[in-house]
Amino acid sequence: MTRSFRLQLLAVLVFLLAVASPLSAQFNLVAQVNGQTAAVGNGGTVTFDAPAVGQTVTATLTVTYLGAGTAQFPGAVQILGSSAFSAGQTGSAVSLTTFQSTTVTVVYTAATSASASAALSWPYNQVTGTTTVATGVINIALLGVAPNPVLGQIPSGGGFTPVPPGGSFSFPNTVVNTTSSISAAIANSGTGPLTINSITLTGTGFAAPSLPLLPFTLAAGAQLSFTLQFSPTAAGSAQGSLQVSYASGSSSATLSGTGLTSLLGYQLSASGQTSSLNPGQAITLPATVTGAVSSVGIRLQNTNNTSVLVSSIAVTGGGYSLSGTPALPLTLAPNQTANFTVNFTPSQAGTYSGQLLVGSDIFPLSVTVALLPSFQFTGASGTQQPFQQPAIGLSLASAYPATIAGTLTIVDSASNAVNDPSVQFSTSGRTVAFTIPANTLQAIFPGGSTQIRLQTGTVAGTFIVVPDFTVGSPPVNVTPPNVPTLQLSVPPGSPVLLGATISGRTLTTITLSINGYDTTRSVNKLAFQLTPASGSTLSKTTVNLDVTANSQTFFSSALGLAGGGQFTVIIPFTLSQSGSSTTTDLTKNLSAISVTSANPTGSSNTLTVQIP
Amino acid sequence: MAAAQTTSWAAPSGGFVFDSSARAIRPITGFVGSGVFGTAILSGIDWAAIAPNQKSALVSQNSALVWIPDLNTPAQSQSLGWIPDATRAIWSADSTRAVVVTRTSVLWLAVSNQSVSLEAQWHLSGVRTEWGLMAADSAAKSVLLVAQTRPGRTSFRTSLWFAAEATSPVPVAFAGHASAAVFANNSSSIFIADAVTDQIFRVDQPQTQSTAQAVLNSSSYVSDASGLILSSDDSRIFITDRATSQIGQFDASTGGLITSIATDAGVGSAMLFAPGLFLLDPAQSNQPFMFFNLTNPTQVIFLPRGN
Repeated sequence: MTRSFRLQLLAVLVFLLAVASPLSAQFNLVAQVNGQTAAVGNGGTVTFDAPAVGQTVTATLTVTYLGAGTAQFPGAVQILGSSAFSAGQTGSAVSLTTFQSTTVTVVYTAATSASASAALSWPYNQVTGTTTVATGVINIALLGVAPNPVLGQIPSGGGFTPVPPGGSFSFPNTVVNTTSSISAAIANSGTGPLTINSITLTGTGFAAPSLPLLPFTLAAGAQLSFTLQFSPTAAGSAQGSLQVSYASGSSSATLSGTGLTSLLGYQLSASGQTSSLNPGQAITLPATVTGAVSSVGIRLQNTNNTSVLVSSIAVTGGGYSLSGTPALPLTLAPNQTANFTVNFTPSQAGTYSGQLLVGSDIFPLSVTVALLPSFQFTGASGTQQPFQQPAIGLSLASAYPATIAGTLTIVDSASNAVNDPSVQFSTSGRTVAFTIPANTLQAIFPGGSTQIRLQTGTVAGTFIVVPDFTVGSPPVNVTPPNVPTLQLSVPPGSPVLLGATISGRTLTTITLSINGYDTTRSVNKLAFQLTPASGSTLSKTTVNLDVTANSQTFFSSALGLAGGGQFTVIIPFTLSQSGSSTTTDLTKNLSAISVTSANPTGSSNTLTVQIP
Repeated sequence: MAAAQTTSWAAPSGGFVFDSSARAIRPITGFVGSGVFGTAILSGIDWAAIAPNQKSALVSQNSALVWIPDLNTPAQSQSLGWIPDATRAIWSADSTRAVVVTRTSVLWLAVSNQSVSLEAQWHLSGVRTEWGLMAADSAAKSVLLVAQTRPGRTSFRTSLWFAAEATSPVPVAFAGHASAAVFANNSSSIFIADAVTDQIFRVDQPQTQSTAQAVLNSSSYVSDASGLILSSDDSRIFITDRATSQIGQFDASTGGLITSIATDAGVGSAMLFAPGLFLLDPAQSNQPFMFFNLTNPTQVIFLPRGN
């Protein structure tokens, strides 16, 4: 093709363009914004995606004149509409020849996450030579958008609960070494896309196991959900944080959770005392003895604000059993309780281990079955004198792990001829209670003393102090067979005179009252020695009485049996003097009377009564 | 010529005891040291004072005072209705006299085998004052009275008064809180236990308002003293205690502790039972009665309370 032809062709093309092309075809508009470049038709729209509220987006509009002649822009670019947009250009008056370009900068600053609209208007004149052949306006619609990230939680029932800045995600109480989960989400409530660069968790036990690939662009109105997990390894409160960073800005919230050893609270009742109990804590049943069941009470309580399912309650270990367990499975409402008893039935002495299992909660069990240790009596033993009040006690050879309740009982030997009712403990009767506090040795009697006195009485014979022992409540008799006893014996002996008084007196009679005791209850003789007063003589100064029959009658009577070997003998002595008047006090002839008693064993002491 | 007639044998009797918790007079079957309580011979009693001869007693029953000449026949009693509102009586050691305090008087009685007669009387005055009999000498001729006066609804003051048959009541110069007292056997002195200062004071001439002198100080034995006993020669003073099971034996002149004697229970009060033998009422109703024997050896003898 020749040069002239090309020029002619070009002129034709230009002519055609000038004549045939519409106004929009006079310019080529290219917008470069948010890192992307695209052609924009006159009257088209350029969208500004702010990364966040408060951030700016700058668009560069390249205007290239394609028409003939010159496109003259006599004025500045005008932005009509939202003040969020502003424009700048190179020079206030621009003149473009064919294929010549200029750029216009438009800046959008997102004041809110709501969209903002404006219009770019730039009038021009198409000039050929000096003649304006056409006028027009470049009109570009401007649209500004921005995202609004909202961090929130998706409840189990659905929906979306925003977590405000500084807020927290709370996990339910979680048993140690288990995992609880909650659903979190990032919602974009703005008008522009949201770029999520990272989601980070801190804090022991907190994790987000299923995050999407990041960075992630979340469209306006869309929501990105993900799972948060709490897996405590120790009981107690735990804190962490969730941080989400965006293309611009970030969100954060705290994470909180509480690790529990169990979803259930436990109480232990043992030996009359109640205490709290935690899974893993050992339960020691009260020490017991063979044949005595040892038991403790267990109370469960749901300490959460949601129901808890108890699926199983069981014990392991020989001898252990449960009683009073509720029907299973059991659903405990908040604060609801349930009770049952753990029992141990021993067969022989030893220490026994087991386990109580309530769901996944485990409690080691132990119990000690102890034999009653040997013991010894303390204080008086063996032969005792009559009419005495010795003290006895009881002491274990080694301490016992439980409180022992016991009694001492005085029992007459089968060989005793009579039962002396005065043989009693100071506390009255022939039985006295005692306790031996756990882990001590001495028996404690009423009044707090470690000894108790008893009366040996006044009858020859043997009596046996028999102990018995119980443990626990209700009491279980743990007295060993052939239990050692204490033997006390009162030997037979001569009578003992305790006192003699003048119980009656007339002019001719003096009545003596003599008190004494005879352990053989066989007084057979009373011997009296009369001492005359000075200047007086008595024809008879010795009086011996055989009282065998009367003594036997008395000691076999109810009165005699009531006194054991004790007696009171009343003997009137009548004096006579030949020739004396009836008004003569003949008793003045006596100054004293001495008395001695005897039984087949021997003679008593002598008592002398002065005659005033 | 002297001839012994047929012997008669009787149940051994250790005497009688007023059991305040049972409100009854109970016989002692057997002798003290091997005795037991028998069935009550008289019940429903407000208070009773049993003579040291263990034969007769002054008894208040339904607020009426009676004299029982022989406790072996308790139904045979004589009314002493001319002594109204009697609150306490103390016998002489020989059982021939008794002093009785009523709400308004202190009376001295002579007691024989057949009758009771009034020997002396003093009127006890004082607005809003309650009178009590704290101690008497062994002849029951001199007494120590305690007057509790309530000048206000919540306040009260206590004072001690000495009186005798021939001496109208005069205040005793003692400012403490008397918890027990005893007359000396061989002088006119009175020993008084002060529960506030834990001291025993001696008032030598109470009828002349002589000053009380402290003779011993013991917080262990005096703070809760329930009774004072003097040996026959007044050389030793024994202090019974309500709370502890101990009797403290002190030198009456130096105030030094000689020894401590164990009892079977706390002692509520101490009174002459028989020559040389004192009855120790238990501090609590479920504890045994005890006797304190001052003869050689000094010992405490229990008496099972029984049912």
